[in-house]
Amino acid sequence: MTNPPVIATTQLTKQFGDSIAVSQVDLQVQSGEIYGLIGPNGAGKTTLIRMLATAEEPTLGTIAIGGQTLIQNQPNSEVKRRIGFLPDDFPLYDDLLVWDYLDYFARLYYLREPELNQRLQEVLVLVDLENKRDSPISTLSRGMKQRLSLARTIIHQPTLLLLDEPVSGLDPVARVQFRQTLKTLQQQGLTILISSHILSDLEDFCTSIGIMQMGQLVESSELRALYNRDQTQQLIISTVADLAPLESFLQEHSLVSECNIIPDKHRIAVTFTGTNDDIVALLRSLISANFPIIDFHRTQESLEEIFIKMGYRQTS
Amino acid sequence: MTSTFINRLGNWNPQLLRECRGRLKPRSITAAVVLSVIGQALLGLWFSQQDFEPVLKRWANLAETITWILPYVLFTAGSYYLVSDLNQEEKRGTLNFIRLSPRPSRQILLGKMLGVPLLPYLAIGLAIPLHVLAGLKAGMPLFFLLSYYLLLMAGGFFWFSFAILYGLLSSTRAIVVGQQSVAAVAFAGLTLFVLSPLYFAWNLLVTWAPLGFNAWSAKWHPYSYGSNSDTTPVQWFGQIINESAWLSHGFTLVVLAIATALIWLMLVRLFRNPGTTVMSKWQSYAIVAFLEALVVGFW
Repeated sequence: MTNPPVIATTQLTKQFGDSIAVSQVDLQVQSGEIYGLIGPNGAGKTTLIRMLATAEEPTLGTIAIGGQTLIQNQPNSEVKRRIGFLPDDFPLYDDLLVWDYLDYFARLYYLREPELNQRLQEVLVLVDLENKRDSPISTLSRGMKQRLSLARTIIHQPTLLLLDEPVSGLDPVARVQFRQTLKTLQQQGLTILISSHILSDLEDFCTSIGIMQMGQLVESSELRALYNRDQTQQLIISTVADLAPLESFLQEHSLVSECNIIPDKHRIAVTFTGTNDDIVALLRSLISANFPIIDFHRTQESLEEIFIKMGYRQTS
Repeated sequence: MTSTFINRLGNWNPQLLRECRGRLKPRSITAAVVLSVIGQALLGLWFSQQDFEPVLKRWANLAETITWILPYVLFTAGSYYLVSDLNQEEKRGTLNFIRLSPRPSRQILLGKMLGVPLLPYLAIGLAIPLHVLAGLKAGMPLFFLLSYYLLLMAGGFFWFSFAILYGLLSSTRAIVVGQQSVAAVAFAGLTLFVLSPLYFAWNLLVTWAPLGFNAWSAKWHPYSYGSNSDTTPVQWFGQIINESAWLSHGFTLVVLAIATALIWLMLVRLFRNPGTTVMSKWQSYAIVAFLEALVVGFW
């Protein structure tokens, strides 16, 4: 028997007055995935995440977390224990010490001593704040506060993490640290749904991507499948000889749609439509034609390029 | 032993432990203790310089003054703290995290009620020994003292429940920027000028009337509110409710209990889902029925 998806929504819709923030979203996220949610401002990402976190009631549709359907106007305590939610502004209590803050939330989730202390210690080590356990929260830097919020989110060992723009406003070092922590959490078996505008970050650790636009989930697939969907790819070819004969040769190839000499005058960027076998055949033909090739490689479209190519519309 | 107590408290109500940790800081505790002690010392000093004959009258005046001060301070300061705290939590966004925890809403709100006004509780708690001592010295009826503290707790529970409801409503439904910050002051003003005088008026007329408080007071102040030690009968559906202590206390406490329970139904509903209406249809029927029965009974 297969396990149910960690997140499964059906026709999920949220309306605020006359405005539809999320419209008929069918989303499935499998166990152990890191699912990146991208889209322009106002696309409905935050509302979707808030509904999954039980912070917002859907207008229509259903949400099942780990196979258990959320019931409207009910406490849904069992489901809440499985979820860890980190919003983009990560508010904290400045009047508490780091340890007391985590202790408070651990107890809210029914953790008790001695497991409580052990878990607090584990989490502080994971987010690299063990030497700040007795510091007032008001004295922490933004990056530390953000890591403390993450610690609060995972203190009760949820199976699903919902992170809404968790790295916004962080410096590069803090972002790298945060990415590392997420990877560690994934290795521990957590399923993560994360929204971010920093697509290069998502590219680094996401296994699947969903694209939202005007409240709808217009794309949802594995990252690898997204890269391979469009067979158009770019090849970079370098030679020590004159580029003109090489350019003429390439332009005659049936699978090459465009050739551009790169300004350093030693490389050509080729837009190529074909399979891996076609690329091998092209390289062989270049060598057979005695072109002195010193570099031949394929560049992958970045997530950002794919996203922009899909022509998103700004909704805000 | 302290850590065992803290641990047990935290397991029972994490919200209460959080409030204790956030509020019981050395500086705040010192301020509350100093304020309470200075207040009591000033009262004692003032009464000691009055020329009361017999001397017992000094104790009686002191006891009576504290009797009046405690509810005013408790209700006003407590409700201010609660409304202000909820507004701040909502503004910061921290209230959402508490909502998302699997703990029942009732437990969290109870933790707020017991924990947020900790400093007023402390300041008032420190004044209780002087109040009881002065009262007993001046021959204040013992049952009055018991009733006084019972009603202070019941009244506080009712009014603080209302304060939390107001706090939740004012924080999520603020229409203009800055409205939240005046909400706490407005509510404290309402408590000070309307609720507290009503509380005393009702108790003097109904609850404490059969306990001999008015007669005791008339002994020391022949021209004050207690000068007429005869009780004006208050009827509810034809039954005089202030002729026996059981009836007067029963009526007051039952009304407070029903009103508090109705408020808590709204509180739980609103806390769980701040976007929803304050009450469901059947809750609105229950509230209207309760208020109509209460009012019609006095007609």
